[in-house]
Amino acid sequence: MLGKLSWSSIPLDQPIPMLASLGVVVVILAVLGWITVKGHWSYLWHEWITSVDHKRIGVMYCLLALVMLLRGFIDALMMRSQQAIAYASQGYLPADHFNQIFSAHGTIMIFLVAMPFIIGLMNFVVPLQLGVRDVAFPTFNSVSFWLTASAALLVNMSLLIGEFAQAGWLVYPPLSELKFSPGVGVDYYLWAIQISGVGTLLTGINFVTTILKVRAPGMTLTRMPIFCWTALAASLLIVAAFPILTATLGMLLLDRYLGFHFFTVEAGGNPMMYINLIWAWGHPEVYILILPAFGVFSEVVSTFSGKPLFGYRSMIAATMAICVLSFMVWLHHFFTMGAGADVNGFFGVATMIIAVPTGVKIFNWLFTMWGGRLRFYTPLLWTIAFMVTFTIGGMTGVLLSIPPADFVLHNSLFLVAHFHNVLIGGMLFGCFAGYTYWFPKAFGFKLDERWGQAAFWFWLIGFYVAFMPLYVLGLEGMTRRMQSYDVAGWQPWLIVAAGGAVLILCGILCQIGQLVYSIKHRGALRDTTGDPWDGRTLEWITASPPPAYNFAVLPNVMEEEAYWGIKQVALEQHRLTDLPDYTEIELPRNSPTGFVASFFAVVTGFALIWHIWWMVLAGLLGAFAVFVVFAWRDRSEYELPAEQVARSDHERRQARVAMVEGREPGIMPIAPPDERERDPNQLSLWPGVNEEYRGPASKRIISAYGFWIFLLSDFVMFSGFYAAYAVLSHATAGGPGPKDLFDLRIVAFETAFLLVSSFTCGMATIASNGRNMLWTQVFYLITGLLGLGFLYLEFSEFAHMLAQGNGPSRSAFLSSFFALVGLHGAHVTVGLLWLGTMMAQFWAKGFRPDIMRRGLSFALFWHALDIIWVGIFTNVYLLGTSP
Amino acid sequence: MLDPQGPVGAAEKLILYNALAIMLVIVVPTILATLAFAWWFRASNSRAQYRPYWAFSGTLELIVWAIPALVVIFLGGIAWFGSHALDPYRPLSSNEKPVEVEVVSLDWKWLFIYPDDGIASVNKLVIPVGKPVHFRLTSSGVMNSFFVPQLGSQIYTMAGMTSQLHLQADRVGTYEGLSAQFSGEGFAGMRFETRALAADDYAAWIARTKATEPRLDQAAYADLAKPSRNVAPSTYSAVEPGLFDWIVAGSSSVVESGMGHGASRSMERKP
Repeated sequence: MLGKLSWSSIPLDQPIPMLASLGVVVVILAVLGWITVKGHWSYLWHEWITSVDHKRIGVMYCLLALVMLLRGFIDALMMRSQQAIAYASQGYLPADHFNQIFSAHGTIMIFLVAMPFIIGLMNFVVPLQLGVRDVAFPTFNSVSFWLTASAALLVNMSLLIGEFAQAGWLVYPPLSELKFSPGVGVDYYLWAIQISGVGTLLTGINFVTTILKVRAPGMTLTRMPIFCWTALAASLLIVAAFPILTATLGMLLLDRYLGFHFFTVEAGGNPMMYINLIWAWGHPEVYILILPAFGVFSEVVSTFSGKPLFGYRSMIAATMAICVLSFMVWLHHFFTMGAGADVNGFFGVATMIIAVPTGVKIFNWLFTMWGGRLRFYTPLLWTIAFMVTFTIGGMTGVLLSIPPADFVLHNSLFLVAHFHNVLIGGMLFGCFAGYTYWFPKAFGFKLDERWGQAAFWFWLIGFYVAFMPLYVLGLEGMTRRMQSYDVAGWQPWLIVAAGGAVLILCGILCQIGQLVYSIKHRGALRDTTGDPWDGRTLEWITASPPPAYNFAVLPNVMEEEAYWGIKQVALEQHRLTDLPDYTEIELPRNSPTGFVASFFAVVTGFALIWHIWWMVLAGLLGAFAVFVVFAWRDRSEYELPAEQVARSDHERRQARVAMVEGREPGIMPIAPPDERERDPNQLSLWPGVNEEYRGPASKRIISAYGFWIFLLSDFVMFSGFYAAYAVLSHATAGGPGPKDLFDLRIVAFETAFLLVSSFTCGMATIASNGRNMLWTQVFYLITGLLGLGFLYLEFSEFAHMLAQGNGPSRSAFLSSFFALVGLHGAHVTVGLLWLGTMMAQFWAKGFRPDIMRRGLSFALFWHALDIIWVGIFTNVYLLGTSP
Repeated sequence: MLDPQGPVGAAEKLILYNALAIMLVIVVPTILATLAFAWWFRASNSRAQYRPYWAFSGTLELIVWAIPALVVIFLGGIAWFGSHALDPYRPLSSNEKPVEVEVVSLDWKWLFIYPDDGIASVNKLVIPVGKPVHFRLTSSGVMNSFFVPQLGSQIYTMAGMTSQLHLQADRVGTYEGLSAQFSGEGFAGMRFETRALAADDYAAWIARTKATEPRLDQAAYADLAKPSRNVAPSTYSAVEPGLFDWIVAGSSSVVESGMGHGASRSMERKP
């Protein structure tokens, strides 16, 4: 009934996790109780949980990241204290507990702190900077957030129920295979990351579509703030890299759950393939995290220097260069696997090349400060600390990219020091800078400066004290993840490092203090104008906090720093722009879809981890029901009347009058540039880029565009499975090979069925464009029947192979074959469920524009399945059976 | 690794220092400039010139792209040639015939087989000073990384595959060895001492080991392969011939795939 779950799954005999989880449960109950007593449930449900407003979602993402930062940091404190005392002793943490802690620390810090923090900032800032009202797909945005939160829940549940992975944050096989890790720990990891991975992928699709298709009128690509450029680069990387992660972890799940042999040491499995695949995702992931942080620093250094960003286009080029190069360096994570000197040399040099655009960025920030008038608020302090710290981290990174140096430093504490140097000194400092910088925009009051500066200094000094000793230890040969050691010379350094962790703890306490103090004194810290830092980009033109619709009228962008230009004109003329003509605004309605879908994701994930199969089924049915209910909605928008918009915009304009009349301290007009300062070459560098951009695209374009990007990511996932097939297709482990198994006649029928169904699907689209219900339904029905026929043939082919003992557990070749073809079959199944829902909708609701749009997406999906099948047919079946 | 005791480690330390020195030439001025610019252009400094529109200079852009590019060209050369000169598969130049050692990582200890002398040891690696040692390595199950920091390069041990490594100790001494790739519960105890002995002492050790039971056959290996932690060093007087290749083939069927990296290049790759 409950699968592997029983009372013994709760670690009653281990005091540390028990106390920790009891503490967490008490805190959660206290918070829930407080909400109930105060009667805030309705407010929370309507304003936050079901909200699809990008600003609210961004805030929730950042909150999740901050809470998880506490959890991950407690893990860090435990590791540092264990290693400080574990010289020639076992310390206080037994190996199995220590191993869970460092695995959880890495997993939480990357997937549940870094990612949500970065995505949270992107969510809050990007639409505001683009001068629009929301992202391309607001409801999916909410789904993304709640899926990430589900992953956080699952990871933390493992503390109380069962155990977490003991195989590191990337769970390398064969250690993570069932044979060596029989417990549920690795399953917690895998399902949590799969769920959050889906959320992240949706975010990537959402932001690529938003940035490329939904911008204020006049905002051409080369007028976008640099943070939007970095967000675009990160989103493109998400779309291209996360499907690889999903595919790789999917293969490991098949190994663990269904006896496949992708990465086992038996039957021809290849664990090294996992390491290649996971880093093909893992290295781009590093840049998903760091590029938006670079964007934050660019905004901050420009604002607080009172100057435009130096070399704006050079920065764009550097960002996109990093974006592309990040896919060409994954092998540097395992030079010590023993690939040849040429391979190692190539990847070493490729890695160093990334240092060029990164170095350019550092220099451009440097020259942004040159000639500036620097105001040392905390965001700028974080930025300067970043420039110094990150330069050191980059240097040690280049050292590690030299293969012979890596041969002695690989997996050492030098490596640990390096990646904390770039992740804390780069990514995290960037998040803190962004958090302080945009906090007044989100909540309408600034964070207290004194507490903020105290936190900054504790963090900065704590970082150096904690991690510089690790560089030394790495050079002395200490490797990572050691629960105990017997080299006396290491202990003093480890004690110093533990002291550094305590300093960082003080920094975190100061940040909590800052938040509490600032909320208490929010009256004094109030941001009345909406422009507390003398900003330059569009988010500062609207009120703090912004209204749900962000901008009463979409701003008309005339130049690179859109708001700066508008503000200078206003300051010179001492008056605001003329009153615009307000019109009604269409806004997305709140939706519980994200929350409910994620509830079922948690149920399904938990049931899968504990092998509770009926609950898996219930969870999946629930998820499908959510899909149908969401698809059935009649209205996804509501209208805000023009008078209401005018009224609330009037308040914003009132607040601005003092500023433009020069009565706001610190904000004053800047004399226009003399001719010497204008570089005549600057604008002609990229000819033709300043043509007009007319504003957000139509809904039809946006939804089709987003779906195309989804399909691209789906192709990447198939490529992952296809790559595995290509690698393993000869690993038959003495069993049958392609020639013995494939029957081309049946496959030819399957192919014909699919090709014809694509044709009928196209006919259905034509019929629905002609508003002919009968023929639409008939053609959709034929499409569905052909799809069913395809599935039937595929099933009987599989059943035949299984009956003969040639199932996926026979050999690595068969594993990869079943996975690749089965994945396509699963897509066809999803397509049929979708088709059924859509036919019912056409029947019940007629040719409504939103349903027509979905019909278009379905057609794209169905044709894509056809294309993928043709690829499988030729590469797997034809090539496999050809002599 | 800061105190290398062999040619490989010494060469790697030199490369590290060279690369560090080259980069410090850029990194130190950059850090100083960051702090100096930030201080000089502080808002309260009335002597600093405010140039609110200065945001582009073609000359400067050329320089900021050129500086890191030049450094990387320089360092890239070091990486490329270093990668070839210090390829772990490449035999060391020496007049002496290399000593052959076969290494098996087990849960959680190291087995060293001396095929030429037919002996074996656990968690204790004994090598002669001044002679190159040629390691062939594999794993009984999970992946580990064989690493003696003071001698130089490490390399992964992978089940069903063989990797190779060449090292040499130049001075008599005892050096700490460990696994540098996390491998499960007993990982921290996967330490071994590496004893570099003078030629006579080495010969004496071999003779002594040959005289000390037990023998290592498949049954004894099966016993040894059971997971155990913090295993004390021990030796075997004789080893069943071909045991290493049996472990490579036996713990998994031979890997036939061709992914271009570790997998395809089991033992076939000639140095």
